[in-house]
Amino acid sequence: MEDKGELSSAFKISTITILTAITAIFTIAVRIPVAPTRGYINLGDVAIYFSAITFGPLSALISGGLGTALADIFSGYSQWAPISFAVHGLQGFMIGIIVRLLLKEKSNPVNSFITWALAFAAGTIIMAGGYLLAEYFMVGLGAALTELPGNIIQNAAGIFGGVPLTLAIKKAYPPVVNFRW
Amino acid sequence: MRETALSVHNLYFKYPDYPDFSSRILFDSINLEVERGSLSVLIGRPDSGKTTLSRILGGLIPRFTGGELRGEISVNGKNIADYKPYDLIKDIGLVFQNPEEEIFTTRCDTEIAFALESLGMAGEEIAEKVENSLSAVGMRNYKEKNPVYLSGGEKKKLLMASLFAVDPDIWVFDEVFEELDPWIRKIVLSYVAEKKKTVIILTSKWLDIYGEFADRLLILESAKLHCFTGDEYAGFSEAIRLYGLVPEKIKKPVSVSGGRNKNADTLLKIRELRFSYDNKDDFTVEIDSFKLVKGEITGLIGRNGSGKSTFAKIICGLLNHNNGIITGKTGTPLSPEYLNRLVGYLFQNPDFQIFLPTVGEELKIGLKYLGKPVHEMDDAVSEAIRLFDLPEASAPASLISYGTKRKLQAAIYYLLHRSIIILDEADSGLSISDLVSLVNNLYSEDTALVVITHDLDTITRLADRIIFMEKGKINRIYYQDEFTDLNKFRSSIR
Amino acid sequence: MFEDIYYPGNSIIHRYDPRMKLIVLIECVVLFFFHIPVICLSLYLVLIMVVLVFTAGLDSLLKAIKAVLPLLILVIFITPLFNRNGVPVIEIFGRTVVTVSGILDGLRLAVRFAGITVAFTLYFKTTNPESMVLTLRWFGISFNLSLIITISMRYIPYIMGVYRNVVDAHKLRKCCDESRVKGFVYKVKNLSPVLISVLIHSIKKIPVLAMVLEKKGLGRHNKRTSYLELKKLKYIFPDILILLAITAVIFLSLFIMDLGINFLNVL
Repeated sequence: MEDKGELSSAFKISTITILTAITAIFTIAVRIPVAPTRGYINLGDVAIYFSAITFGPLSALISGGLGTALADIFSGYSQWAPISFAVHGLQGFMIGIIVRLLLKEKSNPVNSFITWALAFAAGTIIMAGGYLLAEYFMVGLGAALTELPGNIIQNAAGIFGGVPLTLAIKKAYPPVVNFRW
Repeated sequence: MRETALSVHNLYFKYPDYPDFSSRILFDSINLEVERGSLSVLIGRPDSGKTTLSRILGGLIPRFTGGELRGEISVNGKNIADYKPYDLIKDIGLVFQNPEEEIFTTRCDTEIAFALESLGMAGEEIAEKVENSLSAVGMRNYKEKNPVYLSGGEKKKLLMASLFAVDPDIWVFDEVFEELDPWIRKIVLSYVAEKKKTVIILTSKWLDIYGEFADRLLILESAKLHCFTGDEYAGFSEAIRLYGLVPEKIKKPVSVSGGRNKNADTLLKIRELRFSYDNKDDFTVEIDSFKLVKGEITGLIGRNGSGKSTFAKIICGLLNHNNGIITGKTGTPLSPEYLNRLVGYLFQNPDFQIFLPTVGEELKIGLKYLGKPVHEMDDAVSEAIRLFDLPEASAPASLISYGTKRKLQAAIYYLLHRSIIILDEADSGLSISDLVSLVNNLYSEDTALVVITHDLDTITRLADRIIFMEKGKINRIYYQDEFTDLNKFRSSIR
Repeated sequence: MFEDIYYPGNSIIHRYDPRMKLIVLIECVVLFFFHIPVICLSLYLVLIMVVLVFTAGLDSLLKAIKAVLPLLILVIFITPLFNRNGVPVIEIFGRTVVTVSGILDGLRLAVRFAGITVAFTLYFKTTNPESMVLTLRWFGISFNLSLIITISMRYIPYIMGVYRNVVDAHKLRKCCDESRVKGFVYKVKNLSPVLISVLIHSIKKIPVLAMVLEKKGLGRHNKRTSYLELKKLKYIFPDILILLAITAVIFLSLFIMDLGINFLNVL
């Protein structure tokens, strides 16, 4: 946004902060109760995929991790906060990296399909795998496995929700393209 | 000749263009010299660019928004092009119009302390300044309170306290001053007078109190700035009238069945309604009897927190009343879902009601659901665009100005043919003439309009009856003959 | 929203240094991973529960437990199916389904998770957000990150309000009776305009927040001072002693338990 190239740190802090709050709200407010472990399927992953695609890996690293951790704290599941922070942060970071490396400026259907598929795969492996590992230690393999399908569904929701949202926001609010770094 | 605190030379500004949206030239060759220790009132219509101008003076625009800026601005003798906003915080301090946008911490004391920490002040000194500035605005006991829980007025006082603590040389208030309590105004004024601070007050409405202390009046109109000092005109109000900022005449729709007409068609009736929020026990809305009829314009007035918006949200079915019933014409109870579709409600903040990428899509979506054929839809949309003076259908809805968004909101409900339309804080973001034409466009003999506002002057000239709310209750209903004399009416509701 | 996290008070736990408290929290979590008899783990659990009730009220405990109760029940019933060694308890058609060691595994995991839950609840209920951020600062996170945490906590309720308003506004745009349409696809479709609206509204705040931060002097080159500060370590000597004492007690109790178990085994 700044004319002389580099964005100011105030702008970066603002961006990450707002994305963190968005991620937290998508996690807290929009939820469908299903899996017993953390109680619900939420749209937090939609926000993470959206942040990673629109704003890049570094923003998504912090906003994904912090947003979901704060959501855990605000909704009374603080014991999950450290795990959510690590898992979702890494998830957002990897999606952002893949999109940045693979998605071309003028992408064709093949290029975008490969990008989205890889982003989904990486996101799912890190997020669902990360939780499986953490839950294996905290609540045992049995309970951890019951949570797995829900986590995969959340990632599917993430990619199927996050990509169209990115496109819609770019159309509805064009200045957003200047907000990434 | 006193020293110049702020000077603007040949300022030109325009926001960036985006696909399907070209921004207009906001300022064109604007010049301004402000003397140290003077107080200027800058008045302009909503959307005339006052907020942008104040942020340009603080170096914040185009830094964070993009846009084309030409000309020279110096603040305290510093050319702002050579400085970053954070270097100028001791020179110029801004208070934003919307405190929600400005407060950014979770405690009142840390809110004030942040700027002092940036200045590198020692811990004890910060503590002392925080204490003093909070006391100055009467909020000594609010140190550890979370600003989320403050009322609108208290939030503004908190921001005022932040400015006291930093104590810049030039103070710029963006539409905050008129909403402050009179005693805070007095504190601010006596402080700035004593310390020879320079003050610029931005506002969209002229209030008589400005006449008492302004050294200079600035009128921002069609990208130009016009300057008046006390000697040039007998009173500033004359200049204001000259630029049409106070409309001479208000065209009131001819209401067919308003006022005391007993035969009018009832749209909605309320009996023994009781409402309270789950988390607030000290606030209830109690409406014993209330009726909305076709073809009537109702004004709804009352202080902040008197329950106007809550009442409105009950009428449109967004808040579920705990007790009492809302019935239709025939006496059948109406469900919240039904009320959702009967009533149109223009939120005070239009951003909540913008969902779709373009103006055209926003207007069309309702018609699509109603099953209108394509050519009829297009005709209706272009009619609405013309009637409500909106930008072209392909413009991104999120980029249009605040006032235009409010008109878009109204146009949407116009196309949906809502029987009841409520305008919350009707005058926010709209000039009086815009508001009047909005009301005229929305009015029809089959519609009931409810206009919530603080602007008594306008509402007494538009409404068939005015409802005065106090502490969640209807204190009194006034009919037209009881408010033709504005001064008498004003004193009766005090 | 905030009432649910922090429980204002002046108990010993509230006044205990937040840095030391964080270390105690970590010790408690580690403790619940130790392989000691379930009954002993339960004693620790009860102890933390009692402390929680006395510092933050019975409600805090009940809420925390209620939130994880379905999971605890699931753990108790599903875990035995994954460990079928040892003495059988339930057999179906001659095949061992549930064993004693399986049941003990389930209980152990349930107690472990309940323990971690209660310990975290105790920490968050008794530590105000400001000291928590200062603690993280002290343990080395950058000023910028700590600022992001603080401002996020202010913006979460704000964007929550935006979300609610947008949902309301969306309701008022409907044109036909939709109460009977309850399909999943329909619901999802209905959600997208709401999400778009919330996102645009929030993203538009980014430049404004950046302006606010710079006009509060963020980015200046002079050294930043700090208004709220944690006490210097030399002033919290008692707190450090308490930390050492708690650590010693935990180790000692584990040692004694270990001795006891060996003793029983010998018998």
